[in-house]
Amino acid sequence: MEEHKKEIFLRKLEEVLELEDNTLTCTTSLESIDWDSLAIISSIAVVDEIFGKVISAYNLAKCKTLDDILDLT
Amino acid sequence: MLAKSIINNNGAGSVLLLTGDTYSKIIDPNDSALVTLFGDGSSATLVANDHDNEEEKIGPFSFGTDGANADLLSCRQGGFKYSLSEDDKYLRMNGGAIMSFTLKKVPEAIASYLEMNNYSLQDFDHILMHQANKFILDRLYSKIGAEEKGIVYISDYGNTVSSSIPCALAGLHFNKIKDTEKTILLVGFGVGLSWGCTWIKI
Repeated sequence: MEEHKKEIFLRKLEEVLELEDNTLTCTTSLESIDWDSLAIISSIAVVDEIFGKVISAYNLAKCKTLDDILDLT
Repeated sequence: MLAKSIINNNGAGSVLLLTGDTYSKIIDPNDSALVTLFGDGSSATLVANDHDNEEEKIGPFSFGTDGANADLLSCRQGGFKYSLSEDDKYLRMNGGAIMSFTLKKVPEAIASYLEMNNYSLQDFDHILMHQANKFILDRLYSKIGAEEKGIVYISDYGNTVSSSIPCALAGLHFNKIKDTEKTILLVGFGVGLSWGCTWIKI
């Protein structure tokens, strides 16, 4: 996967989750951030916006890290 | 669609279309995801036959449903089949799955409606989707390339379910577009799961 898209994904996710800049990396575990229902719908929207793919909530629920989410794209 | 059909086929002069939902009765006050989304709302819309004008003011309709996923957004109790019980009398929504459904199905439904009728987005002055929430509307309008035409009119009401499109039309009518006639693509989606498209000139 193109590295710059990963970067855009991480920065965009920080923005929608209202996290400090550059706090997320691919290895960030979802458990370590406030992974609530809003984070779930936001991440689906961000993935769709950046990668043009709608991931299923069922597959998303199995993810443990941001890398796992990127693997779905 | 029924109003148009009654007027066209049964000769009715006009139809008063009423909608209303009081979701506050079925929303768990502790469910922070839902409590912030919905507002109670109702609407009354007069659909009238303009005998002097042959021009179509309501477009063709297209509908779809996905009953297999009905339980992603549903209130199981309270009907005849399942009586009210204290443990689950509330509306339940699988937000993530509804988000996926909406982002996938709604753009597909619009594309298929446009293709079926040989329309393009350029034929419409505005696009008004069911006012689910601002976040999803921004994403949907951007996804179909209609950021400029897409209408978000939700801040006064929240998601009023069946009344969200009439409420937004009323708000627009009084604020923005009352001077000239506009052609507006309407797109509904939600509980069912279901979706539908048509257009109106007002």
